[in-house]
Amino acid sequence: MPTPRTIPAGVALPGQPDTLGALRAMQSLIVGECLVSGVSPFASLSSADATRYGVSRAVFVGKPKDFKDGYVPQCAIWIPPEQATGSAAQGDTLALEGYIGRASAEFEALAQVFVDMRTDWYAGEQQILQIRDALLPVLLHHERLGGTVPTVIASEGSAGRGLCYESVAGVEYRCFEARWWVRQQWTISGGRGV
Amino acid sequence: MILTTVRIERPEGTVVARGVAVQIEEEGGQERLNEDEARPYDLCWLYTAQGMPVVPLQRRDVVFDEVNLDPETRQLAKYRVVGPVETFAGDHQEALCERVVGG
Repeated sequence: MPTPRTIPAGVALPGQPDTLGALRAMQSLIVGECLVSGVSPFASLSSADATRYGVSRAVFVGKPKDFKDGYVPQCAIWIPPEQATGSAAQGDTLALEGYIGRASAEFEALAQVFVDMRTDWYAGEQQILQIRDALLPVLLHHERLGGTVPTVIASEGSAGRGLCYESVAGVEYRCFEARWWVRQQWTISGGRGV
Repeated sequence: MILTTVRIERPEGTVVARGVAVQIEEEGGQERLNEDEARPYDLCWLYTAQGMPVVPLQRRDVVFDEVNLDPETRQLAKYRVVGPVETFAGDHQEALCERVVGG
C-alpha cells in the first residue's frame, strides 16, 4: 500500500493583479532581447529621463505625452482605450473563477515602434524592418513574460497593425505595431463575501 | 500674447541659439488631442521680434521660453515647431507651434 502523500499546497497567488509589473516586464524583455546587430536599436535616454523612467533606452511603459523626437527609434508599450482605433487591442477582460475567490484578467498591450525617416526614408525603412524582425521573436518566446511577475500565468504576442505610419506634432514617422496579450490570476483575500 | 526670449534646441537637448526675442500668441484657445488622445496640446504662433535669429527656426525645433514658466508644469514653457516656418524677406520668421498640456 503506497504511503499517503500530502496534497501539495499549490502556488500562492498574489492578492491583486500587477499590470504595471507586467508592462515593466515587457519593457525589460524588449530592452534586453530586441537587439539589432547585438545592441538595442532604441535611442539612449538622457540621465534625467533614465532616472524618471527607470530604463536606459527609449522603451516606454505608456505613451509619452510629450513625444521627444530626439528619442528615435523609440517604443511605447501601452494599453489603448478599447476600440479607440482600428488597431486597438481588445482591452480588459475580468472573470471570477470558482467560489473560493480566485480571479483572472486579461489585457492586450500594443508595442508601438517609431523610427525617423526625415533625413533618409530608406534608412528608416531598413531600420523599422530590422526592429520588426528582432521584436517578433521576443513577443513569442516568453510564456509568462520571463516569469518575474507572479500574477502573470500566460502571455503571447500577435500581429497588430504591423507596419504603418503615424503623425506626431506635424512629423510623419514610420511605425511598427504588434500586440502582446497577458493573462493574470490572483486570489481575492478572504474569498468572496456577502 | 507674450513678449519674451527663447532658446532653440535641435533636436531637443542640443542648444543651437539663445536669447532669441519672440512674440508668442495663443491660437484657438482650446486644447487639442493627438496620438490616440494621449497627447493634449495647445497651438500658438511664434513670431521673431528682432529680425532673423542667428540660427533660423525650422520645423521640428524645440523652443524653450527663457523667462516664463508653464503654470501647469512649473517648468520653462516648451514649444515644438510643427509646420513650415515662414520667413518674411529676411525680416522676421513666423512658426506654428504646439505646447503639450501638463507634464
